[in-house]
Amino acid sequence: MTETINRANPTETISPLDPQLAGDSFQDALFDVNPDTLFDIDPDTLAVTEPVVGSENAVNLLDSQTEQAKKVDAEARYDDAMLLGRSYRVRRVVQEGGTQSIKMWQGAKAKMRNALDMPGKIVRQFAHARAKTSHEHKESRLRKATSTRLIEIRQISVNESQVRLDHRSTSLEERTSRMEHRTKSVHENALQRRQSYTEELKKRRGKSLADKAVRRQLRQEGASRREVKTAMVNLPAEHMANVAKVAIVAEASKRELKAADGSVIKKGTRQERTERTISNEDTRIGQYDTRAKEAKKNAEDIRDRILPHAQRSLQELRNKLESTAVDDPDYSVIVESVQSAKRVVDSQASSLRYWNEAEVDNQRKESEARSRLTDLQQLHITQKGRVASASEKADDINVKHKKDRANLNDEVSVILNANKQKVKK
Amino acid sequence: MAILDKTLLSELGIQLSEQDFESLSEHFDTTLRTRVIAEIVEELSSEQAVQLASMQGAGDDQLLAWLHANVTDFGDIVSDEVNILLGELADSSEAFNSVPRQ
Repeated sequence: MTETINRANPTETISPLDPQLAGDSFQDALFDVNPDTLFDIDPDTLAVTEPVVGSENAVNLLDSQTEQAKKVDAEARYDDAMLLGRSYRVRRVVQEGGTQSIKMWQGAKAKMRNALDMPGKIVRQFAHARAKTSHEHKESRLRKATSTRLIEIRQISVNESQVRLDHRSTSLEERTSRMEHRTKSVHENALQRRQSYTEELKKRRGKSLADKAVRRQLRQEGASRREVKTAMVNLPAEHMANVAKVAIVAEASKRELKAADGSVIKKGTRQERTERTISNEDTRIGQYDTRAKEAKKNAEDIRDRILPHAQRSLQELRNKLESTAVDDPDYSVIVESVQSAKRVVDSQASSLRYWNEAEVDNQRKESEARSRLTDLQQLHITQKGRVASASEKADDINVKHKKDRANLNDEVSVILNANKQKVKK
Repeated sequence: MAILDKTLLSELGIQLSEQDFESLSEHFDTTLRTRVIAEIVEELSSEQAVQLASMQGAGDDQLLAWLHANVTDFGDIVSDEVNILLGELADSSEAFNSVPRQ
């Protein structure tokens, strides 16, 4: 093994195994014998408020772009930055340093560090197991001792092994919890970032609602656009935050009102549909009733008048045929008349059957329609109740929304009048 | 011009299938358009409203140019409505993430 010359003291040689040679390189750090300093957690990677990569660049880029854009011809002006206005900044920030990519990066780092920590953990596990076995063995030997002196000696040994075991347990516990904490922190940090982003979006929403309310109030007072723009500048932040809070409540009640009105309309439509169905069903019941009566009348007519007459005619013709000789010139005519009369009787009998069936069928349909009508009428009553309660609810929400709007207008007036007083001063 | 994208949704902890994302995106754009138009109409005088109504057949560029010329806080209106809608989405995402999923 070659030896290195110590430049500070050239007469002294340093062995390659000398700790003085340990430098800052990754390889040297890897073979550092002190496990407590080897894999130190970098607190910056686990910080909650980790800066988003590239956000400053995005803002600068946006500003320079906006300046540049103003100088360009009107046709080319309307890029995303101009159209989206202030929101563009949010989008760029999100795109350049997204939560997911940061989570992946932190996750990869945590995994790498845990991988580097793993050999140390295994070593500690073995050491702990060995210490435990040794301690248990010493305790069993203590139990077997009988003489006082031997007990004293073995008790000392047990105490020492207990101290060693405690030390190994602590060391193992620290290493394990450090590794678990890394993995958990990645997830917690991502949740924290998501939470911050959600809060940021909500804050922007509040501010935009406040700006919108102030703009609206100024327009209602007849302010010109230039005056509105001027008035919006330098409004006190604390007051605007109050306006934002009230504006969010007003916006929420506005949405609630819209939903309630929609519900009333929907329920009303259903009720109207049921009313139309009831009316149709009523008409149908009338029709079935009429048809059943008509069928009954026809059947009675056939049964009581037409069919008996046809049967009598048939019987007369049969009698006449029996009394006529076969060689009589009228015989064939009478035979034909009998056949014709038979056909009439059969036809009438068939008609009778048809009208009887028609009467039964129409009566059945009428009965079914009546049953449906009863159900529909019940449904109509229920729907009427629902429409009434939905209307009542919508009215209550309307009152609430009017109150919220009035509160908002009051808050906006306060801020505009406060500003006015400041200007007068 | 798509304001809502999957990156933004993932920032809010919302993972959607392609189909669900398409329908949410469409709903978002429609709502945004409706609100922006409502705000613009409030800004316009009656002559300007008539002028805008007569531009029904005009192209997007022409319309945009007219809006920028006649609605001086057009950018503010759009950005405010975008912020309001994104804020509502953030609110919904909290409710969405608080529901235990299988």
